[in-house]
Amino acid sequence: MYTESEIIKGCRNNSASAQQLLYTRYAPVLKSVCMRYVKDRDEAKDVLHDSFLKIFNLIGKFKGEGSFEGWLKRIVINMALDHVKKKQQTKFVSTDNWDVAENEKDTETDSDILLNAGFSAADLLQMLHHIQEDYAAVFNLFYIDKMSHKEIAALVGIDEATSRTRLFRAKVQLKKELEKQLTKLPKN
Amino acid sequence: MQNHKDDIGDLFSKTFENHQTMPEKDEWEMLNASLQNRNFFRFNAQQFNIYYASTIVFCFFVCLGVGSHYTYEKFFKPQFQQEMSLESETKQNTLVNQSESITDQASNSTSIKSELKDVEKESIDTLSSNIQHESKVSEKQTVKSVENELNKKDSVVKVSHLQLAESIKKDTSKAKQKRVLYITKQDTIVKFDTLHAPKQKKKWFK
Repeated sequence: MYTESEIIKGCRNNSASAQQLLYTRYAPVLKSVCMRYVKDRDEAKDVLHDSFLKIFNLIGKFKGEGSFEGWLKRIVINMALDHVKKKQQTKFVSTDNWDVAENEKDTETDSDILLNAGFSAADLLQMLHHIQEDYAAVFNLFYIDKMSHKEIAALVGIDEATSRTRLFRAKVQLKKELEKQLTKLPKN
Repeated sequence: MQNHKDDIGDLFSKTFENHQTMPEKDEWEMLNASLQNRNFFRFNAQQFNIYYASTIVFCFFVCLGVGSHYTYEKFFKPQFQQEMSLESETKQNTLVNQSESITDQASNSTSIKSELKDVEKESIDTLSSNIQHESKVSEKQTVKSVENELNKKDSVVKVSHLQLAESIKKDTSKAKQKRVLYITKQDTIVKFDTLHAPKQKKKWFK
């Protein structure tokens, strides 16, 4: 069993076996990240492919400070966000200046029912794919990847207020999706 | 309100905290192929192959060609140019000497030509004078013979006979004339009979 540092060393020397080991160890986690950010399955596959190429290119620059998995995730998230940005350039219509307080009443529903409904990861992933991609990205960054609004603003290239707005709208849309799913679930 | 909002977030964060999606089998194959392709175009001493060797040989020959061209332009070409200029100068000198000798010869030939022209004129003058003299003598002879005949025959026909004699005199003078021109061409002398001009060639077109 190879350790993380041995795999990194092997990848730095362009060893094919070390690269395969790194792939088998981290590909499932990184693919999950890709799937959260990119709606289409094939596009997520392409993003993961490009991300691994970038990882093997930049692995020489990894200094060993901090978590290696975190470093890998950061690269994948950046790649996924770039992909989302490219897609948004063609079809995104900004509605970020809407007043958040005006729409706050929409979220007032029974939360216990939603939380105890027993949604699977696949269901939640489907719900994430149904909402707008840039909202889903902020939601992912804030709740799942545990980033602050400041970090999100720097990473996505927006200001903090916009980040907050997008997060709120993401939650509103997700709540609607959860409610839709609840109606589909068989009642016990 | 705030708790409710965070509940949705917590639901997602808990679900995806350790979530993994297994990649498909062909994904690694595709990645491996693109990695090999990338490594092929990156020089690596451990993965030395025939393509690297061929590129090295090609680069060597290119460098050799460029270097030889540079050395030729820098060192050999000026020497060749100097030699060529010297050769051209010597050639020019010899040509100048030859041209001077040719001009001397030409001046000599012109003097010879002028002498020959003088001789021609003299000969033409003498010939013409001789011809004139001969014609005069023949005229006198004919006149005398006609007069004798007139004296013998009737005196009425004398005038007409004289006219005829004049006409005959002219014709005989022309018939006996032979004008010869001597045209010299440096060393050769060509004779032309100007009275009997050569026949002109007939043109096949108008």
